Amino acid sequence: MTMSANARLRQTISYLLVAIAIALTLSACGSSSEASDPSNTGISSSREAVAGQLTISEAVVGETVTMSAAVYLDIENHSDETIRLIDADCDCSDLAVIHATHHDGGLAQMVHIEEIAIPAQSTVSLHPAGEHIMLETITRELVAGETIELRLGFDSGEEQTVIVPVVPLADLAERVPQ
Amino acid sequence: MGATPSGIDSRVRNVMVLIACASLLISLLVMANRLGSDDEESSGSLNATAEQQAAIDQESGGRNPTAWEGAVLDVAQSKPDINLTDTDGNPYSLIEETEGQLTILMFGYTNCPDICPISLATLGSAMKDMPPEDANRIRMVFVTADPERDTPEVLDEYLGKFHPSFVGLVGTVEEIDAAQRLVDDLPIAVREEPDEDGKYAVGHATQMIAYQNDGWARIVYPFGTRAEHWKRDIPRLLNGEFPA
Repeated sequence: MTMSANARLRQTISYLLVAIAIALTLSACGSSSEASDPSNTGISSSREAVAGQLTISEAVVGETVTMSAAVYLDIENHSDETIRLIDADCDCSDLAVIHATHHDGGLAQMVHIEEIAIPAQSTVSLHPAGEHIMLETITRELVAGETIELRLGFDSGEEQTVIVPVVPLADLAERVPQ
Repeated sequence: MGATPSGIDSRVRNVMVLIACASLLISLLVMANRLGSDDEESSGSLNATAEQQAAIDQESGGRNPTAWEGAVLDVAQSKPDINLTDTDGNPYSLIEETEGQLTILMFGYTNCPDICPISLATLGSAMKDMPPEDANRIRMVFVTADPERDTPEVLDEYLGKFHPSFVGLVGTVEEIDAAQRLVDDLPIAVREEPDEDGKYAVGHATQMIAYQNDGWARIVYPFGTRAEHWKRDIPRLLNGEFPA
């Protein structure tokens, strides 16, 4: 009787410790793989902003050569509903609007659009010759290495502030889908 | 008598079990740590492989060295006889001014949000990285498709931000449209009606056409051409290699 109760206790303790060890192993693995993920550390052209249902990543803005500049970024919608980007403003311009590019018969033409829909559980990528957030009437020159602060508003009520690095214009060619 | 040794015995056994469990826990933690460092090592070596691959690619061992980065034309196009005005106000004949030179031609406008500035920046960046004797043999000619807003001053200042050698051409709307019609297969730019703030967009062709020193274009460069692409193709175009 005593022996079998002891045995059961021993078994319980060892199960418990193994469970703790497994939990510790898993958490150790998780954090180490996160740290070695090159997308989180390598290219520092973007900082990830996560809040609520949306993840904003890969944000960049080109150096200014005129009074305007275009911002490109990826928006991932984790929710089961379509969410629309409806508003943007920036600490470096009087006006931020959403633009798309229409391609027709070999011509590319910028058009103003009211919103960008991000379907449920998917990612929309804003890229050159596609959609972008246009900062109009820039109030200061943007130089590579600096950052700007961009606030995005969505029809879900969610708002996000993204720190956007300024990059050389030539680097933006890499954002054009090949 | 019999109970005491058995009591000690079970206590000893309990301690031994605890030690066994603790050492199991420690060994699992050590293993977990090793797993973590293996992860880092393996991703490190993956990076090294990618770098080595990039080095191989750079030496063109990983890619077809005869392939061109631009889009090779089925039918070569002769350099158009465009006659406009440069940003200094002087008449500019494309054929005369660029004779015998690698000439890259593009139509666009300075209010363009991304296609024009990115295209000009990639070529300008590539030319700055080239030996000057190569860069000096290139004529980049940018014709405004928006002559009403792109005054000679505006265009000159704009192009200077990409490369000091870039040439800007202006003219009347009619002259600009006529110039575009002289280029084979080039869609003519369209200017939309201005909004209440006087703003409007211009739809324009996105390619950069490369005429070689014999006056013929056998290749065009679509939007998205990167500086490294230009750096691979331009020396070959300058050397008289014909894209085919």
